[in-house]
Amino acid sequence: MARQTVPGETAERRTLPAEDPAAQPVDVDAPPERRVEVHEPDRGRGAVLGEVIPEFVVLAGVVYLFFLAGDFSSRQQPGQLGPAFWPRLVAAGLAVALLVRIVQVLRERKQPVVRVVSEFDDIEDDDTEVHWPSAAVAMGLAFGYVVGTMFLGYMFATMAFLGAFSWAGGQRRWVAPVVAVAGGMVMTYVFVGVVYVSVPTGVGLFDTVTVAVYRLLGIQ
Amino acid sequence: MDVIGDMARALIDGGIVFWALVVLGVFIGLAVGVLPGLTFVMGVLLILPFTYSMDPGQALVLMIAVYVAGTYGGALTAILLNIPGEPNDVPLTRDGHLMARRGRAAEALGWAALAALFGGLVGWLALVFFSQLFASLALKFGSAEYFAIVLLGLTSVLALSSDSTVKSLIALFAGMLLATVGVDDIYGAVRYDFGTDTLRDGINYLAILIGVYALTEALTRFAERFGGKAGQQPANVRTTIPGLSAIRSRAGSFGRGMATGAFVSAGPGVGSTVGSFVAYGVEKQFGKHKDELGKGSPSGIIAPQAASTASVSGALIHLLVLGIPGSGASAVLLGVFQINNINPGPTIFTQQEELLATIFVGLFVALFVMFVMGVLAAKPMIRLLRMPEVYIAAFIVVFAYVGAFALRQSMSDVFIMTAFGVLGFFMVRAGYPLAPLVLGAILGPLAERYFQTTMIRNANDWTVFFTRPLSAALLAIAFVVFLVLTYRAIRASRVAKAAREEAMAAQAH
Repeated sequence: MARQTVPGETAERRTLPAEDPAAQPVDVDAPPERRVEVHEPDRGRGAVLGEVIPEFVVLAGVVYLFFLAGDFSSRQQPGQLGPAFWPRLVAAGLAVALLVRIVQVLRERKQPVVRVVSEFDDIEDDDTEVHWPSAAVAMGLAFGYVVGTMFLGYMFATMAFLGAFSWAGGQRRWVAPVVAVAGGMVMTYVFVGVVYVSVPTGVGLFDTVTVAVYRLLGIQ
Repeated sequence: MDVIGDMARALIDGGIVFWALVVLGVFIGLAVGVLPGLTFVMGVLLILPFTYSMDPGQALVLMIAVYVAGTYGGALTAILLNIPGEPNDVPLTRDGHLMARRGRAAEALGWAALAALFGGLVGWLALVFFSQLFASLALKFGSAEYFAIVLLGLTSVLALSSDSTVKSLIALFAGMLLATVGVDDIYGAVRYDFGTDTLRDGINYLAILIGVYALTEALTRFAERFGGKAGQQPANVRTTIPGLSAIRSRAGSFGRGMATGAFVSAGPGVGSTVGSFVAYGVEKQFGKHKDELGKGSPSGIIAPQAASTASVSGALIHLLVLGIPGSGASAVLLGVFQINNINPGPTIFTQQEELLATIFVGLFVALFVMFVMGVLAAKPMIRLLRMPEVYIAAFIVVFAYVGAFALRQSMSDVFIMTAFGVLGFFMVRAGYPLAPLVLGAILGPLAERYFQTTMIRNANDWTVFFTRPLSAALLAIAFVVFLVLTYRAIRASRVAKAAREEAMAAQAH
């Protein structure tokens, strides 16, 4: 690793092996005693595309919303700015920012990535990798909970969610289903009976059983 | 308003319920500070559904107790386990943990507790005695001035974000654009509903807040398989309060921390995390013990902790006097006001004196309860870490769902909240900060309302923003903040360019 001094700065720099291809320069005013890390970027087209495609998609959406704003009708008086003014202003700002970002990524794709090392990096940095299958499971459970609530009702959906989430999260002991069932009932009692939030009771048999459980718990 | 008298009456009228709510709120605040994956903003958010059936005064006392205790709770794990419980605890972690490793853990915990108490008390004094003064000034504000303040808040969010400015700007504008969905306040036009009732009702900023703060964190921790730092539980946890002479020797650190916290949080949209980092930076530049910082110095704990807790009052001043949230947590408090059809703003000081007195006395009592519980209950609080994290994450999701549902008793808000939770997950992975998204969603509608109102009242004469002295002054400050942003970006770009050139030259050789 070469230690080099930046001309005009006394910052120490180290050249590190290729690491995070998505590493971006940080817009932080770097006092001289801070180190600057230089990473070799992933030069693959896939990496670059992966960085700009989301921005392009959002940009396309923003342009569409900009033009859609022309259809807003209202009872505005002549000479007033109207309901489309602000959304168009914001959409224009967002589009410009996205374009700047896209240009940044494309211009810097073949250049080493520079990052100012913060004095708190060793405390803030969390090197934990994301396990994408687990992420997909978590998101699936999250959406499943919402959909499940509509059919099973809040109480049963909560029990199912707590059980599935704990199991998928690695809890295999007998405590997990107990926590799921007890947790579902406690949450139901607290939110329905104490806080008076009218959560869904589900459909068909689930509705019938939920209402029966409410009566057992003394919830009117 | 007879502040002391009203506070005494509020304390007496509150009775045992008041004390129970304060103790409960402080316990929750300390717990969320300690538990991984939970922040005090989430703590305030997740108890929101419990407050719907409460009297507004009780609800606000509970949430403020969570808020203020949450700014201190994370210091326990930061000091004992080298794991900052909250983002605002990062600056004090190194000094705190080094002290702990040298056998001075009890002293470090004592400094953190004292700094939280003193910082909170100074902030409280500013809240109680200056907010009325500020309110009388704010009565002179028109929509032009309010627009300038909100613009200053939006610019401050960018300037104080340590992430890429362009990414912060994208997140900010995205939040502002999302907030335009639904029926517009001024003209009554339906915008971006795509023919659905869900979108016609608009996207409630609390659903976004719950999604990106609570659900995103739960998804992230699950996706990381609850890995990351795991500290060994210390065998002996106790707190020693430093003596008077020790406190006197660190008086400068206390003063700088409290002043920084109060000053920094005077900017709208700036929370305790920024205050904490800025206070550490100020201490490093000007502190008497600056050479000791980072090597196990109590000053490295005192300044950031005092600033964190002091900033709670700064956020409350903005919320109460202007109706503009000063932080993410105070944005949730704004939700409580709105649910109870109370409009915070300068007139609240004449129309809601009892409520204000309850808030003031609630914060005051919460500070002392936080101090006592923090000192006595550090050990049981740390024991909470034995709970398997997967259960914490699961219950975060459960609370988040009810919190979103209870906003309008609608599953649509739950869907929206879930969508933002997933969006937040991908934004974090792509390096986009979430705070500008949330503050854009909160401040954007305010900016539009004040801007449009000003233009309508002044026949589209945009120069009114510059001809009104207060508005012009605030816009000038916003412009200075913008210049700081630009300077910082140019400077960082030059450093980066020079570093790249050196690296490429080294490769060529």
